[in-house]
Amino acid sequence: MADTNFIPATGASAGAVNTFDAYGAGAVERMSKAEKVLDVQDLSVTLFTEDGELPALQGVSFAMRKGETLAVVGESGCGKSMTALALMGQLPTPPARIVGGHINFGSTDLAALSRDQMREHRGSSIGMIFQEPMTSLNPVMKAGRQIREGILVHNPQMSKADADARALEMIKLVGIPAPQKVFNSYPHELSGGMRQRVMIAMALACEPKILICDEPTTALDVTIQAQILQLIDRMREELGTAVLLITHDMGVVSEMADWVLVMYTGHVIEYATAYNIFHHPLHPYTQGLIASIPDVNAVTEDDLYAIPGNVPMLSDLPSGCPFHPRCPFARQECAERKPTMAPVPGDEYHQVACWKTIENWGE
Amino acid sequence: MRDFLIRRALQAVAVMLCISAITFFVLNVVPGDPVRIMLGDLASEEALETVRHRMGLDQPVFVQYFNWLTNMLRGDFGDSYFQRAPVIQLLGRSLAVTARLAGFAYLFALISGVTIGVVAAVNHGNAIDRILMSIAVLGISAPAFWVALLLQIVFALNLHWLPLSGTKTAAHFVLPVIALGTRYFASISRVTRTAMLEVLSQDFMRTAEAKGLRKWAVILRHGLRNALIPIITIAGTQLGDIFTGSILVETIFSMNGVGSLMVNSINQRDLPLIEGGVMYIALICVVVYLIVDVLYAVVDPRIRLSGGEA
Ligand SMILES: Nc1ncnc2c1ncn2[C@@H]1O[C@H](COP(=O)(O)OP(=O)(O)O)[C@@H](O)[C@H]1O
Ligand code: SF4
Ligand SMILES: [Mg+2]
Repeated sequence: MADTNFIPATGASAGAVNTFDAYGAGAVERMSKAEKVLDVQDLSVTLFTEDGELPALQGVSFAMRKGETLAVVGESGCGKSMTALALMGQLPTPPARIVGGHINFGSTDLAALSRDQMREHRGSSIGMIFQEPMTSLNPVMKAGRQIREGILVHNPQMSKADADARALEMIKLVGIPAPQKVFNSYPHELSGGMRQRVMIAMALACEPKILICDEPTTALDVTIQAQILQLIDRMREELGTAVLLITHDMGVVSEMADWVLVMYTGHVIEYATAYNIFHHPLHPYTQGLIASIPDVNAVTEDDLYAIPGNVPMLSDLPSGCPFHPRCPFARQECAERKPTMAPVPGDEYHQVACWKTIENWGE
Repeated sequence: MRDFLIRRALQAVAVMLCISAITFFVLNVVPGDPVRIMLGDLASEEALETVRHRMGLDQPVFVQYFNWLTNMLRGDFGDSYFQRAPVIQLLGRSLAVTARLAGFAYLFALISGVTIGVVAAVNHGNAIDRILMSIAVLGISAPAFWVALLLQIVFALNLHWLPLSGTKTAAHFVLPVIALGTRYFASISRVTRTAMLEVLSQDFMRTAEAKGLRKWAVILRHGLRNALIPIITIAGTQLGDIFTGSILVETIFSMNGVGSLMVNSINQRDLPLIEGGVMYIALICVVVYLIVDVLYAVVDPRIRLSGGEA
């Protein structure tokens, strides 16, 4: 990737991609054969605000596979959380509404279900943990009861004692020392890391096929971050859960992801295996994100690279390619025509929305 | 939690002692000799002296206070100067009326106030919310006597659905309960709505929904439960208000409650009765605040913790 002048001379990402040396070309083969548990097609969400209709998501497509982690990356405000909430049927209504596309889960199109119909899928088909462990648990309910509650709602015939036992089992499973004590604790009596473990126990208690983690470690200390990520990874492996990991930390992506979905202004602009995203990033935005990874060897401020400019407002999206005002390769036509996702020649599992690749401009 | 309870209970006792002292000494320096009022202007100085002696009014004021206090602790509030009956008995009779009026008014205010507040918050911004909150604003701004008269004119005089005044049957209580409860209902509904709106946007509500809970389980079990603190605060102070504020409504509906008893006793300078009445009102307030404090701790485990350590 050092073949573009877009990446600064410090060679930012060198330290982050080592993980992928274990993956050969055969990895894609293996990964693409795993069972698809979720197939999102052309999902569009519009915000109906007093100032007009804002396109929060436009034609988002991706798949999730059993036991694999899909990382969703992009700067703040790119629609990562909106995508997650759309999958959960928990969009903020008003103003947000799904206006097109499908969320295929088995034979069901979740996008066509009402918020109330989605209820039976929430927690049982798809579990979700949120960014803020400090505020995501009910402060006046004991941790154990909060876990039990989710179990009982999906297993109405289960006795409270059995549900308690199951909740305790989950608390043990997520590696909490002194499980009984935590079971009987209120959230304010637990540390941030413990609360996030409780959240994970809660989200996985009904063994959903999909776990959505929206920036699960952003609010935590660095050492705790690593533990929580390891835990999510262990759960994925032990339970075969498909994980949707939302993050803006490319370092986390390199540690965790099998697949990466890069989002910008509510669009998917690149979708590939993590290996390809780090070794052959094609979209200039993806290249910029990778160049922005802090280098362990960096000593001065100058060594930190940042993509110039800001994410545009939804109310003021650029014409054509939404990235063109910030793109070092932009040409006149980029502002006139909007590129759509297309597979890279010779690799159907690598898609990108950029004229430079689609029309093979070369350097 | 036990330490917390004991400490709050001791505080309540201390407050009651202060109030009793203030009440007693203030009432004993107000002008107007009760014995003279009792016996009339023509009574001789001798007769006055005898009566004063019999009532213990010739003793030093501190001794009088001490006697009054210890008697009161034994449940003896003394006898009314003018109605030949023990204060405790008079208070008890009126209390039966007031407690029923205020109690039902309070229940009415609490149940309808919380319900309407929650429904308005859940419908935030739409027509239902606006209608309910207009009713609440009306309820807060309408004085109780006006509501009372309006209810009497419409439901008693015009429609003849309910009795105009008195305390004979349960039906007699309907209009006074509404008249007394209206403004409390209105302010509880507004506080509930505000508290619920704040809670509804919290992260843990999203978590609760993400578990697959029913909408109303999320709203009530997670939302209302967390909105309770401000609701209890306002509802608690109102419980004191509603008991003492029932005087006006009792008068309009000719109900012989503690309110009218107090008004009469003050007009007559019936000291034992005034003192008993004030102590009764103080006791209600102190007990209410005690209950509110304990409820806080029950509802919010964080308060229990900090309260227990303080
Ligand atoms: N409740 C809401 N009302 C209006 N706009 C919203 C709301 N929530 C999010 N948005 C907008 O939707 C866009 C996507 O937000 P989000 O999905 O939270 O971004 P990300 O998670 O990638 O940081 C942003 O432009 C944000 O301002
Ligand atoms: S389409 Fe043009 S502007 Fe957009 S990313 Fe590609 S080169 Fe840049
Ligand atoms: Mg987000």
